[in-house]
Amino acid sequence: MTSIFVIMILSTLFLKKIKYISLISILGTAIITFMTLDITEYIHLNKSLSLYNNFIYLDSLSIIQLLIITLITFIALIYSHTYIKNELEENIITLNTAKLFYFMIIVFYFAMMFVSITNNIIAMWIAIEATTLSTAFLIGFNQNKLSLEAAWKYVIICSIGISLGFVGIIIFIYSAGSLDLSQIMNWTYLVDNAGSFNKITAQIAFTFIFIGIGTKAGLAPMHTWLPDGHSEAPSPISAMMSGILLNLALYMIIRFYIIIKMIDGLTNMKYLFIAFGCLSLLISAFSILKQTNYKRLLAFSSVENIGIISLGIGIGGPIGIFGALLHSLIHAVSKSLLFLVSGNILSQYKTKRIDRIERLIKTMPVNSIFLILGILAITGVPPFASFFSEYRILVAGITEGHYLAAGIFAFCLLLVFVGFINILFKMIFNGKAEEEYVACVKDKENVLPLYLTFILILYISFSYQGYLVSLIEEAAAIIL
Amino acid sequence: MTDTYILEFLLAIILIFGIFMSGVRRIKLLTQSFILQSLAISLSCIYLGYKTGENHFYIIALLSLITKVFLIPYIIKKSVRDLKINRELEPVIAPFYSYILSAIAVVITYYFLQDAPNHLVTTGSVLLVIGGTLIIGRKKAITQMIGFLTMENGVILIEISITQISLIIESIVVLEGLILALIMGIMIFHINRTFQSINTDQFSNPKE
Repeated sequence: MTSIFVIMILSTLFLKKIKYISLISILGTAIITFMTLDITEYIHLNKSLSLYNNFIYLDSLSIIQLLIITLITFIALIYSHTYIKNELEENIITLNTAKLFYFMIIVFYFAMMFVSITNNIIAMWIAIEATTLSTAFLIGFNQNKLSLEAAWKYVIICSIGISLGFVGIIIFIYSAGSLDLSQIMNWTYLVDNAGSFNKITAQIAFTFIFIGIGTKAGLAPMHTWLPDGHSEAPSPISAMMSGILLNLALYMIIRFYIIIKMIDGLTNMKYLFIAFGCLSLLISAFSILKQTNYKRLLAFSSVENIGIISLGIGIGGPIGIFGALLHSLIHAVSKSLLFLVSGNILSQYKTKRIDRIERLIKTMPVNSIFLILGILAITGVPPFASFFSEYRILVAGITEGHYLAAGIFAFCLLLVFVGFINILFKMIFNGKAEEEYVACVKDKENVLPLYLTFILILYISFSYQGYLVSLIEEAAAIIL
Repeated sequence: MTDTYILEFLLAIILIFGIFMSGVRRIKLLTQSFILQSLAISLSCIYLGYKTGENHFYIIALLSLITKVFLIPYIIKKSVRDLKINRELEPVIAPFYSYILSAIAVVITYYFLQDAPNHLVTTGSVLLVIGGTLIIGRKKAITQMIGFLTMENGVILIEISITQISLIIESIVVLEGLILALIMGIMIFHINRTFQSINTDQFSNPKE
């Protein structure tokens, strides 16, 4: 697998035409996607896989992350093909910048995969740090004032967060007491020996890890880099970051949470998840209502969804965790759909303001259909899977007795739904009656990734008897 | 001087430079205190290696010496020379108050970490807090970068005192600090080119 990455990176460095670089990347990603599907089958039968002397460890939880990473990167790369081609033709960027773009995306992709497959907790941290490094340039890609500000904020805030996370990991290793030093960084080893942890230092360590890596995940109040970062980045990058990276940071926190859960007396840690989840929900719900920039709207919606997933993990129990994992899957796919559609709208209208866009149903009919479907999928309308995941989390909240959290959750879901429907009407259906609206030519291009994403959404929502359900159940069992 | 006194002496130097850094306004002075602070950290690494006889301390000392005392200040000096700035004219928190703030932070941190295993941890945490005040309390992007590097120094102090991590991973961690500093330097260059200054309050806030 590493050889494919090496080929892709070398191609960006040496080839001259962007078209070939892009095609090689797409091909490479497709191959890796097939390999991942193979591994999924294997894990389904054997429950886990470890290689290279326990440095690489895969179980159902990692496989879900791997699937999200490969599928969405594949779609984002297909989208970038036309996106970069347009930018090059209109002479907004130079050839070298475009090559750097692909180079950084591949490094980003590799780092993300590395986080989900490694067993070593410090190597996980190094890979997450590598994602910050590669996305820093990608956010500031447009090189105008707003992008640079967004990129600087992102680098500073996420680096502080990751440093705090590192302190947390160090204290965590320290609190593991006197265990076999050559194995102490392996996650599997720590899970087996969770009894010998020093309780107080483990609590401090986990809090540091939660707040530090939570900065990268977009939990409030550490989310301040998110609205700027995700709205200024080019759309395929926003899709990848929103859909995958936030999830991956939560995955890292969950790995540590699993170890913590095995130590008795530390069940209070779940209140961290619940508290920060509710805070994220409240802040994002109220911010969504007064947004005038549709990409910032999507960014705040990411904060809200991460809050939902965190709430699900905190509430716990088989229903809650199943709901959280299902939600992370459906959020990844629907958020990518929305960001890619918004990318198309942006390339047509060249503005991010909602009030300058009207009557999308006439000017860009295909895109507006996807926009409507995406909004329905994100806000949790049946028959999409997000309805079932949010419903499960709500039910779990009530059965486990967290009435206040469940109440806040339901209230915020309603607010977000209202906010999105409001935007939907403003952008798609409103318009002056007298003016002529003609379908734009640009509507038809770059629609293939949208179709692919929507097929994924349908698959996740409807394949209830399958494979996917058992995969998520196994992963939930690991967390429990 | 007996054994423990050497280490405490070095830690005291690190602490003094840290508090000093929180109040100065001239960037050259900031960079020089950062260099001396990193030098003191490398020396304490070497001393720890000498005392415990383990080789990996020497290598970490060498790595931090090269990156933090030579390479990173070189990057900073190059950026400063391009920018032609000398001092931070209006920081968010006046120097007088930031001295008091760091002093309070030192006292509070020492109180909370009374029963920490050794003094390195407390010094490291103080550096973390001071770095944080630098980032929050200043407007120029380059002081924010130096504040972040101070935080990294603090993290390294905490790390070497507590655990035994394999050598490859520790060196990769130090290298990532270097790459981050490089990226920040490049971004400061771009910011300067686009905004004509590196005062971060000139950033427009697109919160409409």
